[in-house]
Amino acid sequence: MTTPESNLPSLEKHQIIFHGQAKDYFRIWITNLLLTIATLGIYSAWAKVRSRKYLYGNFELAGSRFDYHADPKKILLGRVLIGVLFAGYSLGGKIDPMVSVAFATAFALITPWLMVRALMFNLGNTSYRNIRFGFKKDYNGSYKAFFQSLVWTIFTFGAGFPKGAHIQANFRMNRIRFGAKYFQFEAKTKEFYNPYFMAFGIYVFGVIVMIVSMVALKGTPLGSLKILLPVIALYVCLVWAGATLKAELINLKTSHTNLGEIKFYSDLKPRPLTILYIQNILVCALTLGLAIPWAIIRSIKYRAKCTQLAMPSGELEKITTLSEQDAQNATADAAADFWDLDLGF
Amino acid sequence: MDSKPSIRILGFLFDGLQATSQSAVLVYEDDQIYFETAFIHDKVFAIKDLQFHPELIGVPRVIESANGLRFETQDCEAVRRLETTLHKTSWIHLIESSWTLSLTGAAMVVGLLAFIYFDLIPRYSSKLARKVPASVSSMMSRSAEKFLLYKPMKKDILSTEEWQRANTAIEDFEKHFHAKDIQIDIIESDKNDPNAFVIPNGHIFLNSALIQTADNSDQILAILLHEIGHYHHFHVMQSVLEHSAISTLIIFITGGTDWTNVPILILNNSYSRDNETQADDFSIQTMKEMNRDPSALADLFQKMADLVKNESELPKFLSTHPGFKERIQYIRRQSTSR
Repeated sequence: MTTPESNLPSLEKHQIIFHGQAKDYFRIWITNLLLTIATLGIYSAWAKVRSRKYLYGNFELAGSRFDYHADPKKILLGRVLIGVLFAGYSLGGKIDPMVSVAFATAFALITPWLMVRALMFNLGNTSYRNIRFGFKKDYNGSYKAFFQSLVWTIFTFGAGFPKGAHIQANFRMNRIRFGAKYFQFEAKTKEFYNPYFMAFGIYVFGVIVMIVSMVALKGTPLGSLKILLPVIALYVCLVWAGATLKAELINLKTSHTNLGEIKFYSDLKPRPLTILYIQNILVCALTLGLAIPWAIIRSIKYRAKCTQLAMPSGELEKITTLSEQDAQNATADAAADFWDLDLGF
Repeated sequence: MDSKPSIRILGFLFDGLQATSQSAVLVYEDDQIYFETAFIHDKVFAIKDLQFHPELIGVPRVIESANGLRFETQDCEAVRRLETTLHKTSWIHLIESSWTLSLTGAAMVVGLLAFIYFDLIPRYSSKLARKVPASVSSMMSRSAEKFLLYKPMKKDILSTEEWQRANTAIEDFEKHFHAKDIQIDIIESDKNDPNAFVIPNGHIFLNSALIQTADNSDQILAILLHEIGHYHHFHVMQSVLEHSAISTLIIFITGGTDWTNVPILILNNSYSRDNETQADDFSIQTMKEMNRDPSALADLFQKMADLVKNESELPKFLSTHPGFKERIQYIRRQSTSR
């Protein structure tokens, strides 16, 4: 991977290194699963913290590791809340479809708020060299971005979805900070169209392949393979489309993000990522899920391999933590303690 | 008096004010801990003010002070000795670091999950389904009834003979169950798509293609009994509960990835196939009680199988119903047994 020439003093390049091993992560994962089942799900919050501490603790940048600090009790509270909402939505929907509509509407209305809380929680509990990351509390901005992207998507019958994605990425990336320093994200809307067009094209190709193969196999003595093979072909194309979208979006967002003089680069390639995902799915299916830790480690290793930073010497060390007053302003909220929850899995 | 050995651990100290690190040595001596480093001199920390981050295989050990100092070291062995001295060992890490215990744990997980899937979920879903108030089933059925009965069926879709067959079957059904309050309706459909289903409140729907496919009223009666078998066993509510339980379990195992839909679908389909077999059993048993030929159900399935013979059958694991061939063989076998 090449990084652009610079007129600044020569930039130091730092490769993100991931030290995690599948054999080690498997043991943590299986212990987590056993204790989660034995405690009817209560331990799952502690399991999440252990998993993240392992994964973050194995990311190395410039000789130092990352860490995750979340309080498992707050994660458990968040899960109970989301679980109740989800149960209401899915079971209530079986009784009366309008209940699902009501829940979905309520959920859509609180999504921008939830997103800010979740980002504040997870970033605020992530550190590097004992300096915490953070997310600027901006509910108004979140609602504005959410509704703008919704309008762009609905009134263009989906054609404006990439524009909506750009608005959301812009909102999020420019409010993430490391210590007292905010990340800057600058990308043009038109750059967001390419990944979505590529993914959509692959999806359409997959549908065509499925239809053509169903027609071609009709009348052949292949039994259930007449349906299975075309469906598998479509599924592979869906994985390919998903991998392409993911690779292109990550490259786009990473390469247009900087932290002061620190620049980020990502070089994920759709083809190896697609092969990686298909191998992961096949092996996980054949091992009835026991290979999930192996799949996670491989995926993370590949992404780390494709990520680099470039910065003038000593740039990272200049970053300081938030002042005490700024820290208080960043998180003070009447409901902050109660809603300081992790609201996802 | 035995004195505790002193322990020195080489690592890095992060002050939490800047993203810099300082080479440091953590010293444990005479029940006290202090750091030897350029910017901290002889500051002693109370053991209770230090937090030992949990040990995780392959991750540097971290000790944090109450005032935000972070000490990181690759010398996990030394930290373990310190924890043992301070009686701070972790049983979870003991399991994770032992392959024997981890593999035993893996076997236990597989066993537990198998037990949960094959026994616990279906058993308790079935029990819970019976406890759900009837008013809930009625509420669930309202919108389905509105949709299905929106357009009345044209009378001339079925011939006189077909109507007679259907009515005879319905009368025999109502006589046997002494129930005039079980609603049965015939709805219009495509000729090549015979089907029947029951909704949560026991309302049975037969489509016109099914009536046209049946040779006699016994075949229609057998299908009515199959559908009421679903109602008798509370299969609809049971399926709702099973689906919720499976979804929750899969999300806990996978952490909720994008690909959870496929295993959820496959696992739920297995439950659905079991329910179909249970409903077939109900039909066979009741036909015997009514002194009718229970293989009438198999005869009807054979006719339905002939209708779809030129189309592909879904692989078993993707299907909510057992295959026709399998069902016909099973029903004929059960019909001749006592």
